[in-house]
Parts: sequence; structure tokens; C-alpha cells
Amino acid sequence: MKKFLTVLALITVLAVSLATAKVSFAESSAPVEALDFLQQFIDSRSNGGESAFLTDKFNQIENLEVSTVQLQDYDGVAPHNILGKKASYVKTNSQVIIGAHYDTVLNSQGANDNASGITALYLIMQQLQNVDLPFNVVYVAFCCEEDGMLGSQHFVNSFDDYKTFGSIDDTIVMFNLDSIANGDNLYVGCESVSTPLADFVVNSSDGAMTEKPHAIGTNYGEGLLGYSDITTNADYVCFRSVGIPTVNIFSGNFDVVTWSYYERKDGNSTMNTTADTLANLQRDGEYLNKINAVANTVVATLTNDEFLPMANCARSNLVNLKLWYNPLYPLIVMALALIVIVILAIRYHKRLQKDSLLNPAEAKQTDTFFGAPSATDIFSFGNDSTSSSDNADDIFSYKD
Amino acid sequence: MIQKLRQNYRLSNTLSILAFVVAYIFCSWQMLIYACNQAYLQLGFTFVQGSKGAFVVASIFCGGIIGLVLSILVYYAANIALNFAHIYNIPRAEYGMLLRLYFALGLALCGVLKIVNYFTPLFLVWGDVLFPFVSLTVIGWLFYKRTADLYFNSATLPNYFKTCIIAYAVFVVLGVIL
Repeated sequence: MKKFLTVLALITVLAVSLATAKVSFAESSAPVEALDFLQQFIDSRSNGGESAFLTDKFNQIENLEVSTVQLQDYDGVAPHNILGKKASYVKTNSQVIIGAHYDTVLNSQGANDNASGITALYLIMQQLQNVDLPFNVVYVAFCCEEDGMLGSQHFVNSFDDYKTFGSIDDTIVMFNLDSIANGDNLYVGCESVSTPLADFVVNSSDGAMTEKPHAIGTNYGEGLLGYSDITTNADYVCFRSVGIPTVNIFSGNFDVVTWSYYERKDGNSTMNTTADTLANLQRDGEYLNKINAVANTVVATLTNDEFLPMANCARSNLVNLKLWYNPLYPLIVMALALIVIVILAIRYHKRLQKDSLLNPAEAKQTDTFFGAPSATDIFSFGNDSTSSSDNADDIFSYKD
Repeated sequence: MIQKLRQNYRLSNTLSILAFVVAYIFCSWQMLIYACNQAYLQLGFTFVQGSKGAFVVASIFCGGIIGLVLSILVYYAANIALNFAHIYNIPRAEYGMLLRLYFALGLALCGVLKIVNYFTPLFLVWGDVLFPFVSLTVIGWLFYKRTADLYFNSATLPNYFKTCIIAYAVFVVLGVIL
């Protein structure tokens, strides 16, 4: 009986321990590995060897075909995008693109923007290297984001040169990881309305992320059929502009009062400054957890059986395909209204002309605000100067 | 009060500029905050980091300067339009001040309509295009009627109306392009 009770107690203790030892999503992977990669990547920047470092790291991933595509010369250098292609276990052209930019602004370590995104990309590649997926995956480290998204723009404009698994139409979703470590909160941004894709990613994040408040200074059409993002312009915009559903993951705050985005409430924002260093990033004790949370979220999203059917429908949820969200339609309405106004104006003008022919022109007794002298006051010198109308006699004849 | 203002052109002019600037800020606060935010992000202006108050102050400051410049430009634009139409027999300064006042009314109306944008992205797309157009049309018509009553007779009205319509169309097209 004693033994039975002891065993029962042990089982109970073990069960309670297991139940209470639910490790948070963010902490479940090894943060040390992320820190090592982050440190090495930042170090490689100091001697301009970041692309070589990344190519080497990409090559270390199993089941990955690595290639680089060079952009045209830019400011005397030849930057290039680095690709890793992971084929599906089924024969399909469908592909998911996961990207992060590896450049940073001048004289900056770019620890948050965007060594953090590159680190998450590497962690995702590691976690998925031996996972069979029903779609192809293309990992891209973009160059020249800080110079106007030249790398991602080149990718989209020269899609065939990159020899991915399919065309733009075959790309079901593009994930973008940018500046994910220093901001206060992790956000998922998809469209300017809530979409099933955004809900799906948020649910996969196990509480680590929330959806970007979509009515707050967010992505709306610019130009006729274009696309832009007011607050977080990043590489994904180029993909979204050609109709690829995107998931932009980034960190920061959205202020619903001022319609603004900012990185940190405590004022330690470092984006696009020389203060974007690893030392400053490490002031936030959560930075590694955020990087891991992002990597784990993307992996959990892609490995979910429901992802593919849901992602295949994501294109139908793009807002610029909808009447109410496409800026082309109000422009058409305005153009039609303008045409109607001009037609009415022409008719009105004709009526005015007719009236002016039928009625003799009369100088008006003007009712100006500041009492500007009327023609009568100026040109009439006679006793009848209060007359409301002038005639040639009033003006040119002198009276005693 | 009105009578006193009508006897003091300088005060009225100053007040009309003030009304224009305030109305411009009220109408454009979303765009101004966006512009400040972009400046912060792109140029690394660190003074607004994490501070709502700083964002608002920076936006109001920018709006004040832009509004002031626009209020002056409005006067010169009106002069150019009148010269183009060979209309010389009206008090230009008074006309410019009236135009500024009506523009201020239009901006205020547009600002009221744009409040809807705050609540839904739907109207940000449609509202961004249609609200300024509706405001301009309504206020443009009211301005035309008032100035036609003040300064023009049946002989000069057709030419003035034609000038107003051309100016209106140019303004709408410029608004879309810009």
C-alpha cells in the first residue's frame, strides 16, 4: 500500500510538473543559438563580409539549393540577393517566399534593422530543413532595402531570373521579417482589413503577436492600382504590389491617437540610426525571445495542415481587388461627377450669355466689405451722383 | 463685430489667414502626422521618438507653415486667374481675402468629413478622393455666387463664370495629380 501511494504520489507530482512546466512559445527554442548567429552576422558586417557569411550559412542548411543574383551596379558596387530554394516533396509550382533584408544604414550595426530578421530567417531554415512541405519554399536575403527596396524590387521585376519554382502567380504568400527585436510589440501586418491569413498567423504565434491595427495609418492603395504602406514600408510592399499576399512581421507600437508608428515607448528607438547596435538591443531582455517567437510562428504557420488551403484563398482577400478599397473606383466616380459638372456649367454659361444679351449691362451698386468706391462715385460729379446707374452723360458731361 | 471687421481690412485679412491655417491643420492632420512619421522613420528625426505630444506639436508646426504658404499662394493664384481672364475691375485684395475665407470654410468642411476616415479604412480610400472634391465643389459654388453678387453684372458674369469653372477644373485635376 505504501509503495502504491508512493508511486501514485510520484505520478501525481510528475503530472503536475508537466502541466505547470508549459514553456512559453518564445522560450521553447534555444536563444543561445540565435545570439551566436546574430553576433557573427554583425561581426561579418564590420569587414563587409555579410553576404559571404550568409551564403556560407545558407549552404550549411540541408536540402537547400543556394544561389545569388546580382543587381546591376549601384554606386560602384554590385549588390546581390541571396536565395535558398527548398523543394516540396510533391511536384508543384506553388511556393512560399520568406525574406529579410541583410543591409543596413551607413555606419550602423543594424542589430535590429535587420540582423534580427536575418537571424529569424536562419532559424526558420534550420527548423524546416528536414520537414516535408506540400509547397516549395524560397528563402531570400535581400540587399539594398535601405536604399529604396532595390533588392526586393529587382526580385519582383526580374522574377524569371531568380529561377524559383514558379511564377508570381504561383507564389501563394510572401513572409517578410524586418526589425523584429527592438520594438515593444510584435505585429503581423497583412491587409488594411482583418484577413483569414492574418488571423491564422496570429493564432500560430501562441500569443506572441497581434495583428497590426488595420485602420491606423496602414496600408492603402497609392496611385491607381498600386499599393503602399504608410507606416512600415518594407520589402514586402514590392511583392504586395504585384498581387502576392504578404505577411509582414515587425516590432514596435501603433498609436491610435496620432496614427503613428514608433518603435519603443521608453524612447530607446534605434531604427535607421547608428544607435542600432547589439549592445543597445541587449538592453531589452526580450530581444532573443522575440526573434525566436517570430521563427517559431512562421514554422508553426507553414507546418499547419490548414495553411495551404487557407493561403490558396489569400489572393481573394487582397483589398485592392475589392470595390471599396480600390482607389481607382472613387477616381472614376469623381471623373464622372466632374464631367457632369462641366456639362451643367456649359448650360449655365449659355444661359448667362443669353441673359447678358437680353438685359442691358448695368453698373452695380456694389456692396463690398470695405466700401470700395463704385463707378458712380468716381465718375459722377453732378447732383445726381447718388443715381444707381451711370451713362455717358453722367461721366463725360460737366455740370455746373 | 462684423461691422468693425468690415471697417478694418488689416485685421480681417490677418484673421482670414489665421482661419485658413487653422482649417488647413484641421483638414490635413492625418496627412501631417503621416509626413512627420515618415520624416522620423526616413530621416532619423529622433526628437519625436515615442512621444505623442511631440508628434502632435511637430505636425501642427508643419501644418502651420504649409498653411501660411498656401494662404499666400491662394491670393496670387486668384490674381493670376483674374489677369488671365482680363478681369481688372474688382478690388483684388478684398477678393483674395474672400477667397481665403471660403477656402478656409471648404477645408473645415473637408476636415469634418475626413473624421470618418479615422474610424474605417473604407472611407480613407473613397474619402481621400471624394471628400476634398465635394468640399471644393460646394464651397466653390458658394464663393462664385457671393462674388458674382458683389462684383459682377449681367454683362461681365459669363466671363467670370467661365474663369471660375476653368480654375475649378484645373484645381481638381491638380489635386488628383498631386
